Order: sequence, then structure tokens, then C-alpha cells
Amino acid sequence: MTRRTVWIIFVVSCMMGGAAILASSNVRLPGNDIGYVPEQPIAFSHRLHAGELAISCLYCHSGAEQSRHAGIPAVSVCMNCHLTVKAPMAEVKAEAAAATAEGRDPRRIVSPEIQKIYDAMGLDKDLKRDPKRPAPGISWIKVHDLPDFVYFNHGRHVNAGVDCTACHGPVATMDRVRQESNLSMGFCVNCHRDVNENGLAGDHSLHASTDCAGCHY
Amino acid sequence: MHDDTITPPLILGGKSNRDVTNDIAAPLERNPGQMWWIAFIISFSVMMLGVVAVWYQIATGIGTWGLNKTVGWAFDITNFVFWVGIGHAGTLISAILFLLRQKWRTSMNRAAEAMTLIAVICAGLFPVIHMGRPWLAYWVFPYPNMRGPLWVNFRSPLLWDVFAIGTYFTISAVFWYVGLIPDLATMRDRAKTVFRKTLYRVMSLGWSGSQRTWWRYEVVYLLLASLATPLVVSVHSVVSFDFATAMVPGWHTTIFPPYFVIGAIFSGFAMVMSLMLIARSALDFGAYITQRHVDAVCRVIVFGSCIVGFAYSTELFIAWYSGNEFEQFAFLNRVRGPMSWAYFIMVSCNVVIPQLLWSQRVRNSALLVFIITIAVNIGMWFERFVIIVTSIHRDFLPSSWADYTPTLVEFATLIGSFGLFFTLFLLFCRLFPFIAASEVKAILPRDTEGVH
Amino acid sequence: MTSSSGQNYWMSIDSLGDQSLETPQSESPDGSQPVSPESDSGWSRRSFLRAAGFGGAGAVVAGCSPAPIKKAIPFLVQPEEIVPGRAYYYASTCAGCSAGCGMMVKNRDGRPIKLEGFRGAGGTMDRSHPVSGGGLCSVGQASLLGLYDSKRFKNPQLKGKDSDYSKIDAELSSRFAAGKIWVLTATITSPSTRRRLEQFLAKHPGSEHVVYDEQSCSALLDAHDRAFGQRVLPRYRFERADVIVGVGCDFLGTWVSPVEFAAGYAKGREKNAGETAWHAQVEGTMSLTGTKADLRVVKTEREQIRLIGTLAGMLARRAGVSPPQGLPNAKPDANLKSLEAKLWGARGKSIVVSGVQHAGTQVAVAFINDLLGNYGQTLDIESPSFQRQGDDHGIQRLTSAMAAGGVETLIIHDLNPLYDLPDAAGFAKAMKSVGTVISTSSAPNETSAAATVICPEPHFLERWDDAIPVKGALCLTQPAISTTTLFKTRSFRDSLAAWAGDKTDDLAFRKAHLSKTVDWRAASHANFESFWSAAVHDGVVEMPSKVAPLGKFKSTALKGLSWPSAQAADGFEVILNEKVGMPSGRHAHNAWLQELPDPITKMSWGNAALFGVAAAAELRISDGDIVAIRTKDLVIEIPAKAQPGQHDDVISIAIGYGRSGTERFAKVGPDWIEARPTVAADGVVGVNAAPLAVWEDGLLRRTRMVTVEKTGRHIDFALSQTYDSIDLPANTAPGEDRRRNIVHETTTGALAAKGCDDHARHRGDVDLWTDDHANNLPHWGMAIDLNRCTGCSACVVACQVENNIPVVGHDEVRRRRDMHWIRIDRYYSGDPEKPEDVDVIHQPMMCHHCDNAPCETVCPVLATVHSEEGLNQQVYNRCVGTRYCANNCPYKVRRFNWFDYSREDRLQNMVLNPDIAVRSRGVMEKCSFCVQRIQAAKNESKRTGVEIFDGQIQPACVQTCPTEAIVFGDVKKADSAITKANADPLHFKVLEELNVKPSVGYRTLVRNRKVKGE
Repeated sequence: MTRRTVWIIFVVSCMMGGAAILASSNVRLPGNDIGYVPEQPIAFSHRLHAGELAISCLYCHSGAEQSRHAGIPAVSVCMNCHLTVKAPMAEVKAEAAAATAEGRDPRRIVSPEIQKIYDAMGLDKDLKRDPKRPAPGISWIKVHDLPDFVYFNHGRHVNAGVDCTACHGPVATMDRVRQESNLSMGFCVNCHRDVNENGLAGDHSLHASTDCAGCHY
Repeated sequence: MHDDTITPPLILGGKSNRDVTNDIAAPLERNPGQMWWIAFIISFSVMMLGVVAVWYQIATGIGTWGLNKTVGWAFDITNFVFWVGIGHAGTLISAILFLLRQKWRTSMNRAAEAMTLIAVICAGLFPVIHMGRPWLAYWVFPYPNMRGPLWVNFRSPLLWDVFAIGTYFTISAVFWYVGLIPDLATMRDRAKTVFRKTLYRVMSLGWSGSQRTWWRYEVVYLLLASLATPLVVSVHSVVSFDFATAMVPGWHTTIFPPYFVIGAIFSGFAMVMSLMLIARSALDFGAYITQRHVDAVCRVIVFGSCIVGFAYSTELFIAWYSGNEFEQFAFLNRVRGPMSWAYFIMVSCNVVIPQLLWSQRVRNSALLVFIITIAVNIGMWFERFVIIVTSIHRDFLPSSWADYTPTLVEFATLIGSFGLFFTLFLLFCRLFPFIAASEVKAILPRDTEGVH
Repeated sequence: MTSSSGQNYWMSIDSLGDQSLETPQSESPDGSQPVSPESDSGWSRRSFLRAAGFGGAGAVVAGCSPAPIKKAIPFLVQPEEIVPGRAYYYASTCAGCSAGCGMMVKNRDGRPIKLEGFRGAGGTMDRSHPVSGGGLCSVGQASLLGLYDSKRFKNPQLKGKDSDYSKIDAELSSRFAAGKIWVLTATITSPSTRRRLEQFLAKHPGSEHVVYDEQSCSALLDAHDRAFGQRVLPRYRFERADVIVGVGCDFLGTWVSPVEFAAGYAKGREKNAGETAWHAQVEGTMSLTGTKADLRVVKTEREQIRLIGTLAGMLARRAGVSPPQGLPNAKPDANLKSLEAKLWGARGKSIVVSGVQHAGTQVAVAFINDLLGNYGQTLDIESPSFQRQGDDHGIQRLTSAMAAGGVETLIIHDLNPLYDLPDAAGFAKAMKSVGTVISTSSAPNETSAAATVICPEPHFLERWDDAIPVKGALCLTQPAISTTTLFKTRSFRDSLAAWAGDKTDDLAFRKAHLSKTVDWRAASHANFESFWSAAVHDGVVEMPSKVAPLGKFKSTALKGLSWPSAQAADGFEVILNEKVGMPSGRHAHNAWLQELPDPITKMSWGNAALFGVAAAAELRISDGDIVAIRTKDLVIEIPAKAQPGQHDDVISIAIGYGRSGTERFAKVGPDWIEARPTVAADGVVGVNAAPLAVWEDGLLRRTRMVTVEKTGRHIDFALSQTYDSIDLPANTAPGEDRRRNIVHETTTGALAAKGCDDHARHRGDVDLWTDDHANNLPHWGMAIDLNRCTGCSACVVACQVENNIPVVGHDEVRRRRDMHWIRIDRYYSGDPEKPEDVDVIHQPMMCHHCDNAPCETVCPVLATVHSEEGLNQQVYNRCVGTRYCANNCPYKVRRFNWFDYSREDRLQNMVLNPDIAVRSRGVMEKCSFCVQRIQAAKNESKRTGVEIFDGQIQPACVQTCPTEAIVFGDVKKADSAITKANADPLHFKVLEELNVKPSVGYRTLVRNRKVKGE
């Protein structure tokens, strides 16, 4: 084996190795936030609400049907349930049991996370609006965020019968929401092409435009 | 070499091979003279002016140029076409004249090729900085992306430019470098300091000078020459498509490809001549760049001038003959409109003045020839300016007609590109043999052969 | 709920109450309020990506760093009827001027982002407003910007210091006690405000109310008082007229109620099958109305007055009535004869209207109209107009009263007399002797600067109001936003109530008053409540009104009137006119209107002294030379410009410029080494010409004799069009016929002679291109009727607001870098030897969305491509800015972002349309046929399952056009309006021979004449 051959083998293997390392590492192209899973001010679990309790997505994100934005539910929407639900059932049961054992009235339990909702609305402990308390609301961290130059309309897609999970992934299994898809232009366009080819859930009447002006204006 | 007996030899002073090597290596081995330094400092600072201008333009916006919603291109693309044109002579001299066995090319092909490369570098600058968002210039290359993928528009002449210029630059560079190798080897063997030794050793790619090496060298050189030849025609044809395929009256012209090519050769030779005349006196290459070379180049220039003049008149005739009101107006507007002054600079510099070169007495005066070649360069710059600006500033709808006034930033950018050009050229004079020694040796007059 | 495409159903008042409580802080993807509109890192998404664009290093940095964190705070309790991200439309009434046009306020996430022309309820697109039909003018469109004006008073002021209303009211109550209160207001069309005012005046005996309009119609009103014993402004029904004679009156542009008149005029211009009304315009300078005239008679104002007098005499003789004494009697020329003939031929179906502020003229005009029996026909007195009520004598009484120390307190509402009175200085001097001056100006102006107390008026989008602009039409204004957190304003009505010591809340008061005064039963409603909610919901109610017809014309009326002498005094006659986009100083702080090119001069950011072409040549004045205009007591220095179609003895100057506070525009536009400031040397925009007006027989005359001399100084105008003629320059024209055939026009004569020659179509049969539209999708197209288009430029502003088009300032416009997506090309045609009688053509020009688009082939990066629906799409975020597309566009409708245009004013940014990207520096942009509206309509039809009907999708320009000149729709639909328009034999495409297959076409302009000057 001549000196030259050795060199060639060396260089080639270096290149392949480099490529392998690059591929395995999580270096992303700019604008690709796939896997973004920020910590939220309240440890709200979609797994619990959408999964176990099987609350419809549209119950909270009602905008998704009729508006450009799916929208983050107003705090009052949380209160629809959490006016009564103040802590996990298990804890409440346990307390009740303990209380009967000790022959006293069960103590009122409020889980710290749910308490945050009440604080956000400035409610006192009888859940009445207390004008003296501040009502700062809840500043959620946006997970799915498209660039300014993209116009995406939730309503259009929901009304066309696109499933939420198509873009947002199995949110019902996530305790903390993470960005499932890279939401790149390729992601959108290829889905549109696919719908035009194979239809959406058997519906072939749909025409998913691949015009630039569908999203950019 | 039958003609050597009747015409004066191309190389004077009965040089021997050794003399040739010494003469050509001399400027590289002695320290740069005062002249060189002055020239270098001037051109470098001019280049810096350009750098500042471009930086300001990119930081602030294209608005710092005098363009408007009607005149979208002016100095930027004018400079681009101008420099590409300059670049032409190099490949022509080295490739075509080589295939045509024109021996007189040897004294100047090296410099001409270098000039080509540098000119193309200057040219390549403008398509990038003329963009509104130059930081996205890489979008004009087709590369895999996350957009679906989204490709480039292969119907756009601007895209053809990207490929044409790219190819042209690559081939010219290779051609120039291959031609350099034997001389680099010579330099390597003569080199004293460690730096020069290593530099030239690496660059001469282990040239051994053996019979076999020479033979391969000749073959490669011949192949490259034939490969480069079509490019001479293609590049500027493609550049001309930027206009020919557009629908602006005055741009939309089938004559453009040949018109542009000949114009490019014309301006290229003029630039070569100017540089040669400077180099001859500065590096006293009088023996190598002789009156015969000057004559030869001057003939090409006169020829070019006539063809260009013919092209101008053809344009006017066709405009009239077409019977198309927009076409006719476009050319009347060139000749009589608010920018007619530019048109007359163009005609006088490109068509009238070069005719002087018919006379031997003019050709014998280096000064006159120099002045004329400069005039041609000015004229050719204006040719592009006329084509671009006077066509679009008054096109279809009178409501949109607008005038164009360049800004300081534009002037600075133009001058800066010349700064860049001369800076690089001066560096070339310092680092590489200005004349292809190995080739010159091949054409030394017979009577000096075998003298050792 | 209303929808963003059409109005399906409507909001109740109470819900609207909640709505107006919502005060948005900034644009946010959730319609909620983010911590900061940008990322916490201070990097906007765009700049982030741009940085990432810088090749390798950028990519690595970006690749490893997470996207900037964005936060979003949802509502605590979301208002029932608001879905973030949806647009809602409220019917309301424009208060940009006193005309009282109807409008729709487009509300998005709690803030108004667009004002639209009025549309009938129930998702229909019918343009059914009793005053304005469905149009809205440029001023109305632009008045939205005033809402987000950060220079407004944030607090009421007492003696120049911020204060609050309780303090002010306390302070004032003592002062009011001193009596001698004068109230100076502009025309008040609001019944409730009038009532409040009466209450206030009653509460303070001896107080007086003076009404004054800066665009005064006093002479006209006085004339009717004199002639019929009623100080009434008839309602001009141009749609009913066959012959229209305008004398020094720009009724299509600026006079009284331009939108209403333009709509009527356009209808009248096309009665059954091509037979159109005939319009003659007698004027001294080129007005917008003049550009539409079939016969234009160029006269100085003095000559105009004499012409009217003579005409009255001639018609009287023709009618066999003994002509009134003392009328001037000029020798009738051909024009006068044809005027007389035409008018006599159209008795009862003609209109003579004059804007000249001269008693005799107006009485004579009334005499003519009465003679021709136009009253009750074309001049509607059943439902007279209340749009102008000003009385010039009043303000002079006030001035003298002040001078005599007879005024203790002066309340100035909705006026700026220290700016627009001819003797502002005198008025100011007299005002010094007034104890307390109260101004209700919402932003600082000349008058508020001299006021002791300032009670800033809220913007009309922030308050409730009502108006009866014409008898029988009750127009309501409802608040679309409340910015009381930012600006502590109080409406004039509330102030009056407070000062009158009336505690009843405004809503109760208004309802009580209207239920008493308005004949709501006539509008067939069971009870007032239902009437009221219907009124708020529809924005307007019409009630049949019965008015006693005018009495007989008093023959004495014409006696003892002064008429100008036959021969002119030497010097020039200056005529102060009004620009369409800047009718008075009222809107001088509006950047959109300042940048709007005047449809005649094509000038933005300033005014000029316009000379006749020959006169300018004689004086050797070239455009931009600053001249000194001299009268015996003052001199005004102003740049001059030659104006075709203007009388050579006339200088015309637009009022409304040189307003204080326009210094704010000094920094408008990009900042770079060769940039020039937007304001003139004296720091303001334009020159105030008001001082050149004079008081004459108690009337504000906008004309007087002046002399002119050159100063040797020069400025450059900001002109959006510099070559004005439709003919090529003589020295570069290929042939004998120098006309560029890009806008087609003909005459009724020619049409009758050889029918309309179907302008030999040059469209090629061979086509190398494949058909992009082999599908069943719509293909959008547009057709513009050049007969209906008056060039009023409402579309230009509408487009600017809708599409977030930046304001670039004087210097950029001067450099021909204006950004308007739609421009109105104005061409002069006619004999160059007679520049006085040129013809004018307006041609709106926007992207033609060519099927063979030249711009699309040349873009290297596919940033501009064709859509399946025939749109030419411009993708800003893909554009690298080679400008090749713009070079290759034969219509030159592409606009380039030469700089990053400043968006620093956070408050003003609230006006931005959140559905449209704000373009960054270095990208190309252009008209998109308002694709966002097409998309919105599709989204809506997808949601509701209701098919999109023809005419439902209306781009901003179409929506606002007062004359319905623009038609938009699907050219593939056989029965669509656009298909019909394209089938019209008079339809033509610009530059059709290029075979670019534009989707925009025009209807040939037909002038109602046999030959010119007939």
C-alpha cells in the first residue's frame, strides 16, 4: 500500500467521521425550533387535561375554530372547573379519611399549582375577586411561534378537518408541551402537496393551495 | 519561425535563456522600489474608500445610491458589465491566440490572465452588493433546504450569470495557474529566503522539469486552452442576456450577444495595453514588450472599434426599421434625450478616437497609445451606462419617467473597485513572474539559440 | 358577530360598551397583551433570521441558540363577543369634515385599524348611506391616524399646566359667572351637541354662539336668505342633472360634501345607455372638478362673477322675464352662448353651482336656478343640507366685540382661527383682551397655544356622537376604542354639560333629546328603544322629512349688490384653493395626507404658488423658484410652479399648509448622508396662504390682487410624476403623432360618428407559455372606469392604510421613491400652444397581475411568481432585492424598500394591519389585489359553508371608491360584474401589444362633446 493510498483512506475516513458526528449532534438549522419545551409558569399538564380527562382541545383553544389564532384560554376558562377542583382527588380523599379518623372537619386543600390560578386572578381564599390584590394574569411562554412573515390561520385548517396532532403532535401525552414538528416551510408545503395527492382522511374534494400568497403577504 | 527573417524579432536585445530568466525574475527578487510603494499606497487607500462606501451602503440601505423606482440599476450593473468585459482579453489572448499560434502573445499572456482574474473578482463584487439584502446572496445558489425544498428560478438571466461568471473564473484561474507552474519552479530554484523557498515549492507542485512533465504540461495547457475558448464567447453573451431577454426597449435586442462580446474584447485589449505600457516602463521590459506587440494590440483595438461602431449603427437602423414606436423612441431618446451627453462620450471614445491608431506614427508614440486606450476604457464604461440607464429612465409610461443622479456613495464604490483592481495587480507583479518566461524562451530569435 | 369578510350580524350597544373598555397595548399573536412585542432578548424574529443569514458563523450561532422567548398573557375574563384575531366592523359616521359620510370601522383585537366606506347591514355589500352611499374620501380614510397621534394632549390644561377636569370646572364656574361668554364653533351637525350648547347658553344669559367654517359657504347661505327668506343650503342632486355648470366650485374635490357629490355626479354621467350629463366648469385654476369637465372655461374670479351676472341676464331675457337691474352685462362669447343654450334646454334638469364667496354671484346663481326651475328638482330643498352653517359676519362681530373688551370668556371648539383667519394677527390681538380663552383642540395648534384652558376633545373614534348632516338622515357615531388611559379627553358635549351644571349622563341625554326631536315613528319603529338599537346597529336611519318649499324669488334680492368692474386692476389675482388631500389646516398633522400626491400637481409635502404656463414663462419662473407675493400690507414667500389649465392672470395657492406642529415631520424619512429634511427652511411643511384672504362685504373672500417678484432662491418639489404630458417630447418622438396610446379617450361625437372602434387588439395568437390557469379556481381581475374616476385619490390612502405602506418623507418622494402601491397617473393632452385649455386624464395604476408577467421570469430566487388564481405574488421574505423585476415591469408599479422606514412611534404602530407583514429594508413590494381580503373571504366561506358571492371581495381601493369606478372579481364567472366590464366595447388594456396579458383593464374615457371647446 503506497503512501498516497494511506493518505486517501485517512482523508476519506476523516470526512465520513465528521459527517457522522454532525448528523448525530443536535445542531439545527436557523429557525428550526423542533423540540423546544420551555418551562411554563404553571405546571399545567396537557396529559392530564387532554389525555386522562379527555377535554376537547377546542374547549380551551376555542379560537382555533373561528380565528387565525387558536388562542390561549382566558384565566376565567380555567376557573370553570377550578372553581370547584382545588386539588388532586387522591389528596382530597386522603385528607377526608384522615379527618374522619381524627374525627375533625377535613382541612381545605389547595394544590400550589392551582393556587397560582387564583393568584393570577387576584382571588381571595373564598375565591372572590379581591380588588386589593393585583391580578397579573398568567404569562405563558409561547411554544409554537411562526416568523412574522408567515400568515397561518388555525380556523382554515380546523374547518378543513386537519387534526390538531398533525402539527402539534400527541399533545395529550405531554405533561409539558414540546414543539413536535419543525414547522418549516417544507413541513407545511409537503403536507399540502400530500393532501392534493391523496386527500385528507379520504376526502379528495379538498384543494390545499401551494401558492406563496397562501401564507406570505 | 519563417517570419522572424522578414519581420523584426519579438524579443529584442539578443537575450539568452538565462538573461530572460534573470530579467523576469529581477522585479521579484529586488525590494520593491519607491514607485511601487507609491502606486500601492494610492491604490490601497482608494480601495479602502470603496470598502467604506460599500460598508455604509450595506449598513444603511441601497437608498444611499441614486436609484429610484424607475431606474433600478445604474452604476452597480454598469460596473459589473464593465469589469467582466475587461476580464475578457485575458482568456482571449491566452486561449485563442495560443490556439492560433500567435507567438506575440507570450510576452503578455501572463499579465493578461492575471488581469482577467482580478477584473472578474471586481465584477463579481457588484451583483452581490447591488442586492437589497446581500446577506442572503447565497439564495441564488440551488442548494437543499427546509423550504419544501424551494429552488431557484432557472429562467432568470441573473441566475445564468451566476453560473457563467463562476465557470469563467474557475477556468481562467486554473489556466493561469497551470501556465505559472514552470516559472514558479524556476523561482523556487532561484529562491534564497526560506519564506520564498517554501512558498514557491508548494505552489510549483513538485515540478521536476523532466521531459515527461513538460510533455504532460503541454497537453494539459492545450486542452485547457480549447476548453477556455468557448467561454470567451459564452460569458459575455450570457451577461448580455440580462438585457436581451428583458422587455425594456433598448435592452430587448438580439444583437446584444456578439455586440457585448466584441465590446468586451475591445475594452479588454485596451486595458491590457494600458497596463503593458505602464509595466514596460516601470519594470523595464522594453526588450520583451516591443513595438510589434503594441502594433498587434493596436490593430485588434482598431478592429474592435470598427465593429463596435458598426454595432451602434446597426442598433439605430434596426430600431428605425422595426417600426416599433417604443423601440424607436428609446433610441431617439438615447441620441437626443436628456442623457445624450453620455451617448456622445460613448461614440467619440469608442468609435472616433481609436481610428487614430490606423496611423503608424500614432502607434509608435507610447503616450498617444496610452491615452487612446484610456479613452476606450472610459468609452466602454459609458457604453454600459448608456445601455442601462437611458433605456429604463424613460420606458413605456410617461408618468413613470424619471431622471437619475448618482450619489457620492456610488462614485466611491466605482473608484474603490479600481483601487481593488490595481492593489491586486501590484501584488501580482511582486509575487509572480510578470512574463511567461518559459514560453518566451520558446520564441527567442533563432540566432540566439544554443548560446550558453 | 360580524365577520372579517362581510358583515353577517351586528353587535349590541351594551356588548360594545365592554368592547370599548378593552385597551390594547400592542400587537400580539394572541390578541392578548405580550410582555413585549419583541423578544426579551431585544431581537425581533426578522433581525434574528437576518443575522442567521450571515452564512456559516450565523448558522452555527442560530443553530445552537434557542429561538427568542416570547410571552403571552391571555385575558383574565375574555369579552364574550371578542375572538382574538378576528376583525369586527361597526357602522359609524366619519367626522373628518362636517359632511357626515357613513363608514365602517374595522376593529381588530380591540383597536380600529381601518376605516371603510359604508355598507348596508346583513353582509350585503350595498352602498346605501343616505349621504355618502358607500364611499369614503382620502381625508376620511386618513383621519384614523389622528387616533394614534402621540402628540395629542394627554391631559386637560389650565394656564399651560396639566390639570384635571374637576379643578378646571371649579375654576371656570367662577369665570362664567362674569358673563359675556362667546362660543365659537365650526358647523355643528349633532342635534345633541346643539341642545347641550343651547342649555349652556341659556344657563349663562347674554352669551353668544358664533359659527364659522374655514371652508365657508356663507355667501351661498346668505343669498338664499336674501332671495327666499331662508338661510338654507340646498342639497345638490347631481345624479338628477343633465347639465351641470360649476363656477369656481370644486364640488368633486373639496366643496361641502365631495363624496356625496362625486357619487351623484358619476351616476348622472351615465344615464340610460351612454347618454351622459354635460358638465361645464368655469374656473381660474385647474381643479379636480375641472379635470372632468366637458367644457372648461378659464376665467379669473372677477370674470367668473361677471359671467354669472351676464348669464343671469341672458336667461332672464330668454325666459321673457325683465332682467334684474344692476347686473353686469358682458358681451356674450361662444362659451357663454352655449352655456345659456344648454341650460335653457335642460330646465329643471340642470344645476348651476358656484363656490365664489360673493353675495351678488350667489344671488344671481340662485336667480338662475330658480328661473330654470331647478329648485325642488336638482336642488333638493325637501332635505336641505346642514353641512355648512358658518356665518362670516359672526366672527367679525366677535372680533370687534373682543377688541371692545366685550368678551369675558371665549370658548373655541373644533376651530383654529389663529391659523386660518385672514387677519389672524388682529384676532389674536383682540383675543388678548379676553379674560379666559377655552380651546377644545385635541392636539396643540396655533389657537390652543393662546388659550388659558384646554379641554382636549376625544378623537371621533373614541366618542359617541350623532349628526344630521342632511335633513332626514340621522347618522350615529359609536366609539370603537377607549384610550382614556392614555389621553384624558372629554367631549365638548360633556364639558358643556358640566359647565351648565347638568348631571344627566350623555347616553340618557342623547336618547331623551333624539326621542323628542327625531321623528322616529316615521322610520316605522314600535318604540324608541328598538329605533335606537337599530340606529346604532345600522349607523344611520333615514326618515322622510317634510319641509315647506322655498318661497318665491324676491325680485328685490338682486338690488344694491356690488359687481366688479369690467377691466382688471393690474397685478395678479390670487385665488386660494383647497387640495383634495388637505382641504384645510385641520389635517396638517396627518402624515398620510401630507404624503398623498395632489391629483392635479402631483405634489406632496407642501404647497406652491401656481402660475399659468405662459405667465410663468414670461416671468422666467421655473418650478421651485421661490417668489415673493406682495400685497400692500404683507408679503408671502412661496415656491412657484407652472400649472397647465390655469388663467395667466391668476396665481392659485392651496391653503392648509404652514401649520404649526408640522415641525414634527422634520425627521420623517430615512437618515443618511445625502438626506434632506422633510420640512422647509422655516421648520414647517408648506406655506400658510390664509393671510392673503380678505373680508369683503362681510364675507371671507379667498381672492385679491397681488404683485410678484422673484427672490432668486429655489427649492425642489416632492413630485410623484415629473413628465406630465401624454405626448412624447417633440425632439424624441418617432413620428408625427406624438401621443402615447396608453390611455384611450374619445368623445360622444366620435362615438356617434363611427361607433367605438374596438381599439384594434394587438394580442398575439401564438403563445409559448403554457396556460397557468387550467383549473376551476377563480381568476381575479379588475376593471377601472375612467369616466367614473375623478382622481380623488381616496384609493391611494385606503391602500396605504390597509397594506401598512410606510411614509417616506419629502426627500424620498423627490427622489421618486414614493411607496404608494396604487398611483393615479395624471396626463395633460391638447395643443401645447394653448396650455390654458388642456384636457386632463386620470389613470389609476397598480400592479396589473399579468398572466405573462415580465417580472416573474427574471427573479433569480422565485420571489415573485404566479398563483393558481392569476395573482402575481410578491414574497417579501424570499426577495433578495435585485430590482430586476421592477426594471422589467412595463407599468412601473413595483416599489422597493430603499431603507428601513422608521416605525419608532409605538402608539402609531397600533394602526398597522396585523394580517400584513411590515416589509424590511431591501425587498420589493407591490399591489397584491389585497390578497389578505381574498384569503379572509375564503376562510369565512370555509367556516360558514356559504359560497363567496360576486362583489363580496373588495380590495381597499374598490371598497372606498366614492364613484364605484373600480370593479373587482372573478373573470371566469360568466355573470360577474368584472366579466361584464371586460366585455364592454369601450374596455381596453394598457400596453396590450406587449402581450403580458394584464388582469387590469380600463373603460375608455368618453368626453361629452363633438369637438373640443363645445
